Amino acid sequence: MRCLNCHNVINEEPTLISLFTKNEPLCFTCRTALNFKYPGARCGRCHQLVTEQTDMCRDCRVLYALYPDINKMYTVTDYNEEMKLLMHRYKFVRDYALSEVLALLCTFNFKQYDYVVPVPVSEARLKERTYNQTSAVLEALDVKYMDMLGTKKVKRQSELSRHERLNSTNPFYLLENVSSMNLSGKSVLITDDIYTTGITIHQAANVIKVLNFQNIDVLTFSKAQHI
Amino acid sequence: MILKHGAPDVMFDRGVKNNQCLRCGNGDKDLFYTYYSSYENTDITYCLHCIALGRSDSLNPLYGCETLRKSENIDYRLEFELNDIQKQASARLLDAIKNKHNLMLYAVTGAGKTEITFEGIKYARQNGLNVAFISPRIDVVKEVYLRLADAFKGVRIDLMYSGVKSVFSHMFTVCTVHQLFNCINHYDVIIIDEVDAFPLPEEPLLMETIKRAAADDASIILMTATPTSEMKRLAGKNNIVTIARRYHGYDLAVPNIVWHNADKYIRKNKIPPKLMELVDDIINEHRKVLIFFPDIAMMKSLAAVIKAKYSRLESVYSGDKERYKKVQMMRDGELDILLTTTILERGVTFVNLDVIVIDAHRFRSASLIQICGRVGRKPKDPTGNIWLMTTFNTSGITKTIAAIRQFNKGRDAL
Repeated sequence: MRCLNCHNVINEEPTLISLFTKNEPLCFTCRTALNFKYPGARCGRCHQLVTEQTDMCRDCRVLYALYPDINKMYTVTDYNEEMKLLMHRYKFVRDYALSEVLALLCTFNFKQYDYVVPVPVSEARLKERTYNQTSAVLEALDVKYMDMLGTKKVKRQSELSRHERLNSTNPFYLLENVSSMNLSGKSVLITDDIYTTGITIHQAANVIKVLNFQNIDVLTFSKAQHI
Repeated sequence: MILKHGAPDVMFDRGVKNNQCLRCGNGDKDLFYTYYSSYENTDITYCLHCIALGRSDSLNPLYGCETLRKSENIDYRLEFELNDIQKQASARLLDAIKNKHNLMLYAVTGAGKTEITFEGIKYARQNGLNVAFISPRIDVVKEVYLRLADAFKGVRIDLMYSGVKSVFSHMFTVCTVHQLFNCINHYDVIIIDEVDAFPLPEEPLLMETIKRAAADDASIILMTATPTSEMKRLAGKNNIVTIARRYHGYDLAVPNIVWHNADKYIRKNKIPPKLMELVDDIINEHRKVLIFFPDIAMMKSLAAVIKAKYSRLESVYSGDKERYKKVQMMRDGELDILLTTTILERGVTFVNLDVIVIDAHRFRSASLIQICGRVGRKPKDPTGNIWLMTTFNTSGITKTIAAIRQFNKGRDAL
């Protein structure tokens, strides 16, 4: 078995437990490097590193004033150098196998939600990449998800500044097959790959709230730490 | 041909076909990945082996351009003259290139291997042959590039290693082995420095990559101080040139064995007493020391305790971001002691250096010979001391000492 991140042969000593569990295509070194959180106090909402522990950092207050739709936000890892390389390979070199690696890192209870919705990628991006990077991880995790959103976005988010992102019009819209649904009393989890400024995910939540969800939570695989 | 993303011509209509990657030649089924793309409505298989250079898959074509050959009237200058042994080796190498056969340059560490190749490179380029000077190690690639650029003044040399690409024509290239994935049947002369360095012996696919990058009648020049039997086979029995003397003419230092269970002390977070004695002596004589460890964990635990005693001390390993900075500090004389794993076994030169190997029984003889080759590389400090700390004798240690003695007697140790 080879590690899908470093492609080295995984040659770990078998233990009593590993004998009875499924072999996972991720070596110990890569797992440790990827499953990484910087030490320090964090914002209780977006998990940004802050100097003093707080329930809501300044960025979150600004976003919350604009889009007060999200209840709780979760994130799996910090966006460190190793994760940056992985995401680059996964999204731009189209190394689809890394969806399995992200899935292995993601120990999250999806069952508590009635619906799981991935943030969509634009048609142009889909043509380039041939897959939605968020859905691919959900598929690897065997999570049933539902596409509810579409996007008119043209430019890459990573090409825009924070200011440009804040002032951009909301690119998301509800897909036709769900737009007439009333999902009051139901809960939804919106998932995305990276949380940078948080604007994407807040805009997505703002569109999806029209369906009357009782609770909207958010999960991102990696949180970029701007220090 | 040279494969290049964005080039106009289609070289292969698919990157992956019949369980084979047409770019890197990979045929190992463990190194392919297949998934169903609902967008394309089909299964896509792609190659994991060369993914770092962009994806080669069963859906998209590979673009590139055909091989060009053009002669270039180049010349070089050396600051010093080659000695007789080097001149002989240089003539054999030139002969191999003229007659298009492989050659192995089996030379002691510090024999001045790089300079021996210059005459051959000059001939090759003047006759329109494409030349690649490659090595599995980035440090070696950088060092060789600087030396070539210094000698061949004004000549455009391509330099490629992960993250760096300065390419003019693909006719005279210095690069790491991995960069050759994009070249097929292209180079007429391939010189490999440190052929036995990680990961070349561990990954047989890389040797295939080199053979693929070579033209049908290419000469492959293998340079090493510690050849494997496979390399000898590739070169051919009659195509081995041995240099048993360093260019400054002095003997190689023969290692001393110190019977000491260093691991026992390191486990208890103590400095091994015999190590401390040795280091103290070295410092008192105003020399510097490289201490080699078999693994990173062991090095880190000793570094934690030894740092309190010696201030001019650092430790390096492959993943260390400040690795190059620390090596430079050692070179500049800001450090006396450098703890290291096998990453510094090749390609580094320090003056007034001694070497200590902890748990020498855990090293291969190829590694030990390279490590011993770190001392006495400069004419003004032609010898040095080597201590192998071990709890028991191994064939690796015996072989190392035997090989060095053979070299010193002027014979080859094959």
